[in-house]
Amino acid sequence: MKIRPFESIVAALFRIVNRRRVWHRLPFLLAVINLLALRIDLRWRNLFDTETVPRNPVAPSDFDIRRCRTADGSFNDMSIGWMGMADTRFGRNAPLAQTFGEKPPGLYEPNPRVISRELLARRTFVPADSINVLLPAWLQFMVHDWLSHGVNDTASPPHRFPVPAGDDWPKPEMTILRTCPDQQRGPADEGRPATSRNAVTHWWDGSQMYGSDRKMQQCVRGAPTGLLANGKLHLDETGHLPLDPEAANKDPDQELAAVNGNWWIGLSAMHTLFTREHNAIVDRLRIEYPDKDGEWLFQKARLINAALIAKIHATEWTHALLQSPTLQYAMRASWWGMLGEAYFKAFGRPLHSELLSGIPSSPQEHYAAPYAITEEFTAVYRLHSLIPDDYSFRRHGDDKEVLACTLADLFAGGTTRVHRSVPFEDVLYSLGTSNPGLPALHNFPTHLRKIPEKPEQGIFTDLAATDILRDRERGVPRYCAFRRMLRMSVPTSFQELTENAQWQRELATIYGDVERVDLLTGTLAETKPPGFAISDTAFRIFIVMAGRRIKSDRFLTDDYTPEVYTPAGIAWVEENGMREVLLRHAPALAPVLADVRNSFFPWPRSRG
Amino acid sequence: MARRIRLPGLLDVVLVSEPAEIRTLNEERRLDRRFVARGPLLNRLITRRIRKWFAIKGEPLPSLAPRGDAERSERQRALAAALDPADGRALWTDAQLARLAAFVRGEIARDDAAVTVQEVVGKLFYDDYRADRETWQAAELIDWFRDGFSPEQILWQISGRLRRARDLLLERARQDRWAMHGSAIGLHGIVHALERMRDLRSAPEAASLDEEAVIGRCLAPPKQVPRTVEATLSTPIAADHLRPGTVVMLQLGAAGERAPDAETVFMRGHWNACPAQAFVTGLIRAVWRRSLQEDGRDERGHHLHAAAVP
Repeated sequence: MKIRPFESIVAALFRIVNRRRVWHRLPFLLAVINLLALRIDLRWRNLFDTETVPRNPVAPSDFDIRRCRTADGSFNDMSIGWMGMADTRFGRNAPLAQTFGEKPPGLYEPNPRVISRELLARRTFVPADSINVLLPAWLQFMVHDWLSHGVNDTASPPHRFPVPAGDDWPKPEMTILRTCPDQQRGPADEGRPATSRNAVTHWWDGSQMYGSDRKMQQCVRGAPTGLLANGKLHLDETGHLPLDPEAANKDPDQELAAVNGNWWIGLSAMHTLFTREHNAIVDRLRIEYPDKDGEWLFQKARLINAALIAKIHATEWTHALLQSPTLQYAMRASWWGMLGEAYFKAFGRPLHSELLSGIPSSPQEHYAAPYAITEEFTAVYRLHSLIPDDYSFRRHGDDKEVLACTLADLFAGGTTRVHRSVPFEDVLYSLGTSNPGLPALHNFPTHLRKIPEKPEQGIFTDLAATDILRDRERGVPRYCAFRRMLRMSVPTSFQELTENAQWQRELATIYGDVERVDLLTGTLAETKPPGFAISDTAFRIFIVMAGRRIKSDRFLTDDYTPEVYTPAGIAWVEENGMREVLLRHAPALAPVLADVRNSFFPWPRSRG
Repeated sequence: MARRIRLPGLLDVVLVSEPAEIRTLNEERRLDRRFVARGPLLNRLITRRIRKWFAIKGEPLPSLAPRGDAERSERQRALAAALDPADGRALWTDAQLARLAAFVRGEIARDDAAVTVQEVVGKLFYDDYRADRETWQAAELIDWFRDGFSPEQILWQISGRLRRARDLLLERARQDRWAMHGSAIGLHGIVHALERMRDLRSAPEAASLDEEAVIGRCLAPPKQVPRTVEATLSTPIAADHLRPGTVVMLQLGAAGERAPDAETVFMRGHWNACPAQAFVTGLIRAVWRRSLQEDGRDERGHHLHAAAVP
């Protein structure tokens, strides 16, 4: 695959235009073309492969790799079997020479705890008025599908840095475990930056629900009496996820899911919803194909469920996060093409053209590097500020509060305790009618800055400080260098970075030099494009990676066909959205959702 | 991501920038550095130009000698052994190191540092090698000429400027092909690395990088190296066969962004591996350490006086 001449010309043209005017300040049509030009540019100039001696998986003889997703993500690309599979390396968006991890003393400068306390800590909750809490819940649900750095390194000495005087942290120094190093480095890696591996599949394949290996897949398909023969995922008699008897956190009330770390009520709601959706798809397929066995039903339902999730993300979730007419058109075009949904519904996708008919069913392509989630993508998706600290659970019928609690009460097994006292539709209603936090400085959840790991030993985690340190440790360029490598304009002063005069002073006090500003701090401080909940800097990574997750996936491109999905399966994906999923599994919400245009916009509160 | 530029009868050039493709093509025996003038018109001009300007008495400079050249491979092995700082031979003097460190600290001009680099490299071959502004400017002209095409270059040829530069460097290198390559072409990789080191050192991120990262950030391969097709070749990088005379440019500079390792920078492990890898890496490392020492810091960037406190 090579860049086409007209693509080169369009990309070069807009590189010149963007020197004078950023894309979101252009008229609608030009802005749409500008976004296409940016995507071309980023696809060819900001995708880097880090594998040197990739794994060589063996195709299982008892599994139809052509028509079903393998558990570990292998053979999605039939010619490069290892691409995107679990336990392969994260890729990069930055040229590799710029990705050497930071080392002391610079690694701890400015002190991450100081940044956490002085720049990130939530003072008063600043809501994002135009979205609801299902949005961060969905985001975490997706992130668990795409990436995990696995357990941290307990064998090496942890990062240590002093806690400033006057800080209320329980110990005089903060320790943070290192990211687990890549254990499979070889001679070919000599002189190259450190790498890390993705513990889950890189694909958009629902691995957070279905697992990234056969063992976990069997686990979520298994009832106490053994593997469910009907192809369904296991839910208990109340329609909730079963409890996890081997939970890593030892909490007896922890729910079972293939990825159930950092569990809270939002994540639980999403897993429950889409586990129910899987089982609903199985029921539909069984009507159409009564002679098929449970394994076939399971694998087809997984394909369909994962594609539906991808579609909801592209056409609904993204629109809620980035509320601009340009983005709304562009993201819907990524699924239905520039001809639009109405044309698709009337005529289908006769052209197999990404531009005109959307990415699904267009040819699979990887552009400048084999598909992999990147470290920079991981970094820009650090959006913990979206999480509120306080929650009110209310009845959908009359909006009367039945439970008020904090984030601390909703962690791990706390979700089960909520489910025992609050009906599922009321959990959804409560999240749908509440606002998340605005991704900005001084809005990092208080609870996440002091997560009790082993409180009896005084061991806590400051996730804000950890976020800062992780980017530095993994060689994600700092804010200015990050923008430079994306060919964006670079602020030369704190005044150019943000319009907020108070933030300018605070940033200057802590960083001194704008070049030292961390990526996370910079993206939270940056003045955002109109309607955007995230920064334009983060958005650039989003442009390239959002489309790539679909475009590189054979099951969402070449094999997004009735032959592979079944005609009923394709119809299920195309005819459903988040609203239909919500109403299928929480039908009592129909009056509330009646006038909701996008399920991630705030829902109207019921009148008693 | 190879690109083929073909104008029938006039030009047939393939530009290869993907590290894996470069590795494969570099080991392809039907691609070599014999530079026989054949194929389309401009291809012939390219190969003639290489043979005319980058050969001494009909013998090509070692970086342009074919893979089957026994003398080249023998000298390559001998040089690699002789140019390893780990062997204990003094490959540079303390005064030279101090000057290069001063450049990295921003205290002397680029040209002065470049003359020092040329002197260091020249003395690897002849103890009495003498470098000065004139020889450095001559090497710079040769580098500009080697690295691209421009109408200005025709003027350099017509006016005799290019010939004079080449003659001066040849005279200082005593007509020695290896000394000529090092002091006219090879030195530019070191100069560019020192320039990157100077930029890096003045950037806030310098305190965050360890020595290996600094070396990785500073070393970069040459922009591109040429090959010609010797026999008809079918390769996945091009839709049609590559015919004898097709010029293939291995674009190491672009590949270095994707694979910033010794294999790309020095072609380590290949038949054409740069024999100066250990020397260049050692010199760059030594300059970095020296530049930090004079700042009162050790090679990890820690302040020496702080480390001395019990």
